[in-house]
Amino acid sequence: MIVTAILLSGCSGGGVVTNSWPGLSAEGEVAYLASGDSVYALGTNNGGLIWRYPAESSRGTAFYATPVLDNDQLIVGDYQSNLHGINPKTGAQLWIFDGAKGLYIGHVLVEDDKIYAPNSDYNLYALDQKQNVLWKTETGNNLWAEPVSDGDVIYQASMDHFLYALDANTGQELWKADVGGALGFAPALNGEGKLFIGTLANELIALNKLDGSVEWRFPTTDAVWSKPLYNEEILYFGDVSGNFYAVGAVSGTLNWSLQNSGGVVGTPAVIQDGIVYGTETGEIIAVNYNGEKLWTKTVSGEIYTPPVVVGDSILFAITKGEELLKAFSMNGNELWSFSPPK
Amino acid sequence: MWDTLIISPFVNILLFIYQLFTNFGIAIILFTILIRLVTHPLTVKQLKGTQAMQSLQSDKRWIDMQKKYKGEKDKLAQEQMKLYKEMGINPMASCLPTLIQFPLIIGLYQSIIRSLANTPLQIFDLIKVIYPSFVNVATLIPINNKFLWMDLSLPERLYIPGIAIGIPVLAILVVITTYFQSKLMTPPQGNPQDQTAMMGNMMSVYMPFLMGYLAFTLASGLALYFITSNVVGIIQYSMLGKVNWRNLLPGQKPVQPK
Repeated sequence: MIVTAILLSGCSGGGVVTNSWPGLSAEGEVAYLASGDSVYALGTNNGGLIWRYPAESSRGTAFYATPVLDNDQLIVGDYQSNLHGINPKTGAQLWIFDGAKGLYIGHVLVEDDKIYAPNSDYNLYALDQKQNVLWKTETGNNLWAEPVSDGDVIYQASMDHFLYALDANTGQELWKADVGGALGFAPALNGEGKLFIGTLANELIALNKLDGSVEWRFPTTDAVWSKPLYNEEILYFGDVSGNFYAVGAVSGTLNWSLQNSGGVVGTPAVIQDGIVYGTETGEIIAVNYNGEKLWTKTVSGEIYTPPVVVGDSILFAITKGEELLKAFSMNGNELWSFSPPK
Repeated sequence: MWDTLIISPFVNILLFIYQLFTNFGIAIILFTILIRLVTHPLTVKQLKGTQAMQSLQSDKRWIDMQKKYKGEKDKLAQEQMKLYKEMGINPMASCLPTLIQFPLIIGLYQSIIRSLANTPLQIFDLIKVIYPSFVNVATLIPINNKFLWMDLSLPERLYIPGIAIGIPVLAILVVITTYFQSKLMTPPQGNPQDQTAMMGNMMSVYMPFLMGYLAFTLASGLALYFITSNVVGIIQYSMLGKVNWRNLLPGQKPVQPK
């Protein structure tokens, strides 16, 4: 009994252990990486550390949401229900918004000077630039997906199985659509007024953005646990069994598919001659638009974070690996890697 | 291997029960009862082994042997083995069932934690261990972690108007039920100065607080499991006639149940 108690006490520090995959974004010569107790700013040319946030004495929370750069502020949420505004040049704290009650998992959307922040307390918060709450809208469950906007309407996916369309100015619900499965990731939106979203009910669904009516459903082998990539009227996405699909956005029919050794979670990224994506088993696969492999690489660790293309390099954040971030050239040569300082 | 043999079946049974009742608190309670029932034969075996060892320790030959071969460890061990054989006692009979139950307890804990997934990565890990033909992921997720006033994925506190701090009701119940369980089930020791007896007494004092601390800091789903397990344990022992309620009275020496 004592041994059991000791083992159990070592299993968790408080509540359920909260961990996830790193959040990654990049702008010009700087990449922003949120992982564990820190947010890192790194040079995209050599992976050199520019700054680390917060200061060592203030570390105690966890950051996994993708940091979002908005002119002179970097916005990132943490796992202690705080949203942080950071000076992107120095890493100094600019502000904290502590009005939510849950984890920040999905990243914020900044548009028209408003910050739309989804939180696990079921609410989407709309803030002004001084972090005053303009409105908040409650859904039926956790909000893990980032909001998506067409300028007038905010589309918010919820774990309660519904996709919500909200008035960007008031937060008023315009429509909501039950898609039959939990939504952990955002929809892709195209210029023709269609939303494409993957669900835990083994489907990718196309909806009309005006009223949420379903245009087509594409059945998958397993749960779709990512946001699809929309490119040139084709949707690229994976499922948790490792299938990778290219589906026509107009017809909802399969163009081609590939089987991988591990689940595909991160949204693929467009590169020069095709697309690139990572898998749970640490494989990096670049394919052309016909589904033919261009090159593959394997890293030590798991890949769930969507890759980020910046300049001539592709950045991959790694979960449970020897390194936290690796940069590759467009033809798959490793350029540099980053491990957090001890 | 661990996931395939223990975690995956446990998670699926737990979620299957949840699917029936759509209440994760009830699922934890029923699942704990189920595991206790399945391991009941082991509990009985353990109890019999403990009793046999106790009766051996009060046997005159055993006591004489301790005095006679004091300082001769090898000889003492040989004589003890002889006596075990003579009396038909297996010295491992009391601890082997505990060893078998041990991975089940750890598995039970891990399956509860695994099911209370509250990040995308944890959901991804959960989906991988679910048997699709047994549990319907599409309707099951998100799992409703709410039970009574608590979120089972977080440490529990009850907030009462007028009181500034939250009361850890479950942690208090864990302390009480663990104390009751150890008091009611602690067998009487022949010699209170004996090291085993002293350790037993210390355990019954410290263990409830250690378990209470775990319940205070860990997910309340786990605290619910502790309480259910303690209560079911007391009922189990009581039905086997191994509980003496008088042990709870202050100043009472532990009494052997009839």
